[in-house]
Amino acid sequence: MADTYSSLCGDTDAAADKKQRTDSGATDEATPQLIARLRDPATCRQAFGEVIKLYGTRLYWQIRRMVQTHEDADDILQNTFLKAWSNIENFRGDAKLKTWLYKIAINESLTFLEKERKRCNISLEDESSMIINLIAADKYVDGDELALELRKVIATLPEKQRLVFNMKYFDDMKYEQMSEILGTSVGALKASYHLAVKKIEQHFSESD
Amino acid sequence: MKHDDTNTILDKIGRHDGMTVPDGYFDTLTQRIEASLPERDWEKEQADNIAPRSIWQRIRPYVYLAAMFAGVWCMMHIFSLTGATSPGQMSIDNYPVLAQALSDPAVAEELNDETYYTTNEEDLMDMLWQEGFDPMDDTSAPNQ
Repeated sequence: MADTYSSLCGDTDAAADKKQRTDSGATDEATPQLIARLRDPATCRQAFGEVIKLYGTRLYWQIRRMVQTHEDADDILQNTFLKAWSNIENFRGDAKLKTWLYKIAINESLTFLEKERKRCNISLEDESSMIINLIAADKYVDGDELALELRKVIATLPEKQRLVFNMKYFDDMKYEQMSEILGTSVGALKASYHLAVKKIEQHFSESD
Repeated sequence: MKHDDTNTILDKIGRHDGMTVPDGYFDTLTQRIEASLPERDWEKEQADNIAPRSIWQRIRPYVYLAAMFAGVWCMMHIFSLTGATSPGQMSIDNYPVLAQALSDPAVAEELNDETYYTTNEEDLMDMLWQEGFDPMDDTSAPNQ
């Protein structure tokens, strides 16, 4: 039987959901010892393996929510770590490792969506229809109609709101960290999230 | 504040987005990504430094040094051979008059004298001249 996202954070109870994600180790920041080992050529590869273990799952879901299909998410996740590995000597300790990896993952995902848009000759305004098509093409779903509807509604949001909503709602990320990753002020992020929630609420209240 | 924004959605659908992954995907994720990471230059350098050096690797600089000196010696030897009189020309057989003179017991005795070793070529020619041998005579030319 397929692993489901609900096995990680599908519990409707927010507290249980957060606990499960904490158990996966993904909420932990890299320790100074791990950073130091990343900088030592003798221990770098082994330490990078621990980084993959620490952030791999969480980054996967972040990417998956952006690009929708498992195959694309898997490819982008690999590219993300490959890019991080290729530039590991440029990683400076003053930036958080998690922030750095998220930046790479989000950039890779946005680049993928842009390429897909160009390949399909779709304008930026019609990007939501392309994402809805990607959702329809996704084979790895559990058949929950309401969850599928939520994905489609999120797809209709502008790019920034979509990103902020995913990071806040599903990943429970702090606005301060989102601000570091996206390079946007906390106030603007709160406004984006608020707008996104309102649109989603409006959609579901209309459909009731 | 957060709950004010999300309560309605949470109450209705929670944080479930219905996405799944293939069986065992996360179990092998780390290993798969680790395996795909290319070897970095500094890893190769480090591996070279750590790897035990073979006998050849250890003696190689000395072998190269010896080969260089041998090459220099050979070159100098070749230059000296091409620049100086060849060994064939140095043979006494090429100078019958000189050979005849040297076969004379009186000359031989003179040559056996200790002064022979301190006599230079000019003195020797002078001595032969006095003995009646003319080094400039055509018959004294090398038989070539």
